[in-house]
Amino acid sequence: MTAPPAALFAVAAQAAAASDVATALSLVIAALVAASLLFAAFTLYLRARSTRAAARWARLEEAWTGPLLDVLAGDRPASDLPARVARRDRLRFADFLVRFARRLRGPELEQVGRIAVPYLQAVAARATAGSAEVRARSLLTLGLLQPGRFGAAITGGLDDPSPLVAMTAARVLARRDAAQHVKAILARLHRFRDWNPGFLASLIAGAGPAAAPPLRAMLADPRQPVESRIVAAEALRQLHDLTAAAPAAAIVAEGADHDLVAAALRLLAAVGSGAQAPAVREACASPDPVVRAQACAALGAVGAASDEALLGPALADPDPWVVYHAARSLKTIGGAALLEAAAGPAAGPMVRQVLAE
Amino acid sequence: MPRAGVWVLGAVYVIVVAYFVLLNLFYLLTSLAAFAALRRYARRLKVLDTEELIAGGGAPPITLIAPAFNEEATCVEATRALLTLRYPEYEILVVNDGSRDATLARLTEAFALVPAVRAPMAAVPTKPVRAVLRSARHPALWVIDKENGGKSDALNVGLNHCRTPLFCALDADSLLERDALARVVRPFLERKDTVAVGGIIRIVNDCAVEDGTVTRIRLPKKLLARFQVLEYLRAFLAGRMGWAALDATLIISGAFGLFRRSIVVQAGGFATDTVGEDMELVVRLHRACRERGVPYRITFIPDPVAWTECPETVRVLGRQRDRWQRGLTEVLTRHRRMLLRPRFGRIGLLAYPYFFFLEMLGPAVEMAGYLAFVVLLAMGRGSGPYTWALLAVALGFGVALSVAAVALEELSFRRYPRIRDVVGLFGLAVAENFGYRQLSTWWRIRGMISAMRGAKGWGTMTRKGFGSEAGR
Repeated sequence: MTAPPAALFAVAAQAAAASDVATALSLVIAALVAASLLFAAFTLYLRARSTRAAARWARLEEAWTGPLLDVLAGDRPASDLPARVARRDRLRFADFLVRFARRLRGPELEQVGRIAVPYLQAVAARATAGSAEVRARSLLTLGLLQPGRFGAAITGGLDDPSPLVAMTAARVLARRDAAQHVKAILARLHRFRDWNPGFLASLIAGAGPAAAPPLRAMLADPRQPVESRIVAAEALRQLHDLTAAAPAAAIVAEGADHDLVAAALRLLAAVGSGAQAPAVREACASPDPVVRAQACAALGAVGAASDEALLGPALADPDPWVVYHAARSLKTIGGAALLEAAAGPAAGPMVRQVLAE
Repeated sequence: MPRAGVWVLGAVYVIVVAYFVLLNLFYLLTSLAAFAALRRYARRLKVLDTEELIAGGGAPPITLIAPAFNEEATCVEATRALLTLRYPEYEILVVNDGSRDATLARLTEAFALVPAVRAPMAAVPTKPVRAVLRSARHPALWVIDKENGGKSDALNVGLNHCRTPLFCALDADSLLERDALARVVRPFLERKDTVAVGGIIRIVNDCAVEDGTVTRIRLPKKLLARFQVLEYLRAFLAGRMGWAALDATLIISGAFGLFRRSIVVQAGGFATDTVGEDMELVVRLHRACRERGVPYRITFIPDPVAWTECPETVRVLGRQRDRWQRGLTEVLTRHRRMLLRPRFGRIGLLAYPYFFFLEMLGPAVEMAGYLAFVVLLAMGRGSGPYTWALLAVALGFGVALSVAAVALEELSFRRYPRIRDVVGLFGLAVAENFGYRQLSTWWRIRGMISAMRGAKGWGTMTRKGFGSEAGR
């Protein structure tokens, strides 16, 4: 693909040097025709190549699927398989096992992992060499088929210079319910600061309850970057970690960063109790509308019927999100009657919407 | 020939040649950038299993906003297709923009719509809302009936009623592929400063559509539609992909774009006084973010697909192109302060000048070139080898770039399975230069004139519906 433009420039350079303009134009035309033909030929070559590759892949899949199913069913020993995999197809076979393994769980997945062992050294070699995409793909393969055996290689991926590889390693590690992996990811959270915090939180929460202690430590540590603490708060919310309520309330009481306070309030809305209500009530008066809205939402979970005094006036807040959360919280703590009473006869569409929900 | 005439012809010659050289240099630049970016992107896609990426949670909820004006032929099937998307959490807001046909009745009947309450969460000024309806069968489907105010006004009504961090602006007849949302959201996951992402638009005419899914892809039967397939490949795979690779995306198609709600509300929503509301919003977002020093990213990715029906008659296509050029002219003149201003970075120094001088003014220059050629022919001077050679060079560039766009498609997505369709595209790359391209230039000139005269309105698009001819 780079040849035609290069040829074009070469011809254009020649053309510029030529004293005869007509000759120069003829050369340019010839180059353009050649470029068009080359592009067309390249397209047809790509088509032929992909058709051939697809056909070959289909043949291999057909040849491997039956025996693999037999092995999984116990009708054939696993030692039968290597004879069916040509040396040049080892990486393809690993790819085939990955496709297969994605549909499996538990003992069947482990069995496919054991079958894959002879082929994974070649994959592991690619985890530190080649393009970022190849390295990332190798980590995915290792992480799916033999995460224990290649744990060091996968953890090493967290320090790969490519963010793609590092994120792939984090995704693979987070699938495993192990505290040391979560710690390894959290220690490198700064590498993922460009990523969406909600997505990162889900990724870490995917590791399960083992993730909670290091996340709580991160949330409570004021020396940690605000972005990391926001991710920790969101992950703890997804894990529904009740013991995170205290550090969350401390953050709200401290009231430092608006985004962090809002994240802590979201966490309290999920895991908080009456003990945290005073801090939440304070936040209802925040000048930041996002904090006010989240405080109103949290008050619905941790507050009492007496909080109508705070939530009622919030129904007149200029920010619609504050009104929405205040209305929902009023309905939660005192039922539709309390909301209707607080809104009065001229209830706006937001109150009517919440009443209808 | 009078001396002044010779001067004019000489000036036209210089301008046309300069335009031609610059235009093709830009095309070459974006095509090369697109080539590198597409190769990289195709490799990345093998690593990023999009569905797995969002299955783990953390994918932000999305509201689809589909404005509908007189869409009785396609609205039910298009909405049904939206209901089958594979995405964890999304709502659909169909905004009936005061349709005069049976759009609302069809939707009400098909989805058992009943009156509901939904309060606006923003206050972008719009025409009054007449009713809010919700499907009794599909709780995620809402229809907002409003007074007619145009597409932008309908989008703003949807924006006001949007409750999710992201919203997807669609045309009512856009047919999204099932994984389109899961794909288009990815840049928002990878970069938290992403504010807008565009997907690719492909032409559905004569493809088979079953239950809102395109099941067989082929070139349209009608020549006019076939030319547009090639145009779209060039515009998206070579053009927008190239500009995205240069980090200078200035257009996100109104038929399929995902935006961050808060930032669009902050910017005041869609402009209602232009027919180029999609481009206007993107330019305004660039401008607002750069002026406020807010880090942001606006980009295009080529794998999320929205299928759309393209015009098949000269009259309707002419109206569409007139409108596109009018929108482009309105937007670029409105934000001309950004032109060649370093504070707007690559947008001000690269993308904006390209669109301003080459896309907006280009048709006039191109037409002047054709006229000069005719004058030269009439004077008996047009048969010289230089004139023909220049024309041949122009033709050669056009063909080479179009064939390169087909190569990019083959390199990346290979959506046309029949080899004869690919070869057909090569033929179109040559044929479009004889008549179609000149016709396009004429339509775009008409669009420029309409913009200068301050013309408003969209004109009508006759739709066949996905299930009729398109499905055979």
